[in-house]
Amino acid sequence: MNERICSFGQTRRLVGVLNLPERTGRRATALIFLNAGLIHRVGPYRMHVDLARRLALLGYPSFRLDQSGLGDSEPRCDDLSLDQGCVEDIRETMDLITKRSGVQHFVALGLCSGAVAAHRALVADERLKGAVFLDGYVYPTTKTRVRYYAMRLLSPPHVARTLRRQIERISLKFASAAQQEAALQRASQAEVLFEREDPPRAVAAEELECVARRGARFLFVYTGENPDEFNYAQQLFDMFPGPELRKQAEVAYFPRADHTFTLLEGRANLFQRVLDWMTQYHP
Amino acid sequence: MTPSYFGDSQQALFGCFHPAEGDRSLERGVLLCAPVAQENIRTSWGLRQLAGTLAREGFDVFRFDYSCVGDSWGDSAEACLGQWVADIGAACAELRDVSGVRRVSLVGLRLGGALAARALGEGLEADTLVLWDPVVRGAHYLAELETLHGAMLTDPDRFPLHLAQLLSQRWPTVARFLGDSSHGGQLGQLGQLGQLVGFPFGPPLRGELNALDLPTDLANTTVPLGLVTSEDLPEYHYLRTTFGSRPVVCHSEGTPGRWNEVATVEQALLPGTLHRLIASLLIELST
Repeated sequence: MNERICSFGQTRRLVGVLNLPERTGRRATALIFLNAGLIHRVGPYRMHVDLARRLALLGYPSFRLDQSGLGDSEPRCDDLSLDQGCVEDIRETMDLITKRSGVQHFVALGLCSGAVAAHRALVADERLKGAVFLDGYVYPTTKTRVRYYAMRLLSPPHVARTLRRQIERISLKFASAAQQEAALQRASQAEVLFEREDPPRAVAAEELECVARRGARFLFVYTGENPDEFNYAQQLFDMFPGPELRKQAEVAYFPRADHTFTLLEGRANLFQRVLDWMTQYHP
Repeated sequence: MTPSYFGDSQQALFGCFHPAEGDRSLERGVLLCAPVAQENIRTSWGLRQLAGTLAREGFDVFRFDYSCVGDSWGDSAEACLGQWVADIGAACAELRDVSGVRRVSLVGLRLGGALAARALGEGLEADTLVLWDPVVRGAHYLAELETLHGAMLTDPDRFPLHLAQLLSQRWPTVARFLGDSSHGGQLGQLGQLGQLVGFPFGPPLRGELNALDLPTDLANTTVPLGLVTSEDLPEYHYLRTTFGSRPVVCHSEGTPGRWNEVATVEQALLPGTLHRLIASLLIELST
């Protein structure tokens, strides 16, 4: 195996796995995997490990990072905000990879909260030459809403789900206080794993445009789990209409994949898309 | 805490050693045997917390990833139960090597409990075994995974468009409107081929799991047992009555693991008070 565990950063409190292919044929760009929600560095369904090893076969170094306070990494002990700390973690990771391999160009890959972290780092550090955002920032447009409501009308499962939720809502009104409390707890638990807060659309658009202007490349991947938020590929350019972003970004829309790419078929399609994008834009 | 790879460099396993903290060393080691597949991801954080708690209580603790799991070598599709049992032996040797302790207890969560019992039955030396929400019958575990997988596939919150498209196959105009025609012929096949809850489960692994029987393996060992369960299930009653003649300490408390529910399949397990309970159980069983 070409993988090494690394403890690094201030007081060696960050932990991650460096996958470094043989020097012959090694590419000049490394991919950094960021935590998806609270999931440790292996990623949902071990996705990061599988993709890192596929990338290594093509000569790409990669690093599976546990950000501060996640997985095996300790929380930060400085005064940095969550956003600043996250950027600092990624900077320290890039320093380490450069020190170990000489690689100086990087791409960040993150799902959900990981996509937010990738965005923040991309804005802050020019060593990042691109990012793969999996279900990253999303802002429904008018077209999104029209399509969503049309889908609901045409889809029996959507109609059934709406009815079921209405029935649950009504029955909850007549439930005991303990049952109501339990329902609230279930709902809040479900949100804990992938909780995140997106910035205003205009701010995200301006930042992306600015990063695109300096030549960074983006692969935006969206799944079909939340069709009320994203439901057509071109929505990306309706959300972020900047001319530079249009030149630098690609969209991959997987309407039959769920948020964490549970199915093997969906993951295989995703991996192929990421590998194609890497070889095309980061050869 | 010291993370490292150990074993054969071509087939290296990820491990993490948590030495006893301060001057409280009990000169005793604990090997944590994790679940596999999605339950492995769910419990990673909880087992790290447990390792920290036990280290603070004076135990030298080692946790690791089996072959084809987590950061260890191997493709998930090549996972093999026999190899996982062998990995427990290798991890136990590594724990003794890095810590210098001779006396080791095993703590096995879910399938990790059954694997640890199999390792002991095959001759691994350890002082005690604590089973935490163990898988008791492999065939039953597989059936539960299949039910959970089926429920995930038909969950309209998870696959809203997949389901919509399955139904709209009969109406191509609707399918075109939904925007993805790239896999039109395979819609009905999605999620069906050799996979359970996000991981490949091929025929060899299913065969091994079908034959797995915790009571049979426990009968091949005489170590004192601890049983910690978050839910009161009939198979746990069976374990208590079958092995009641040897030291068995049972506790049932904590937040239910809800191992087979769609709603919790991606939620990190936060064991709460169970950590301290397991620490006191380990001390109780070996004194």
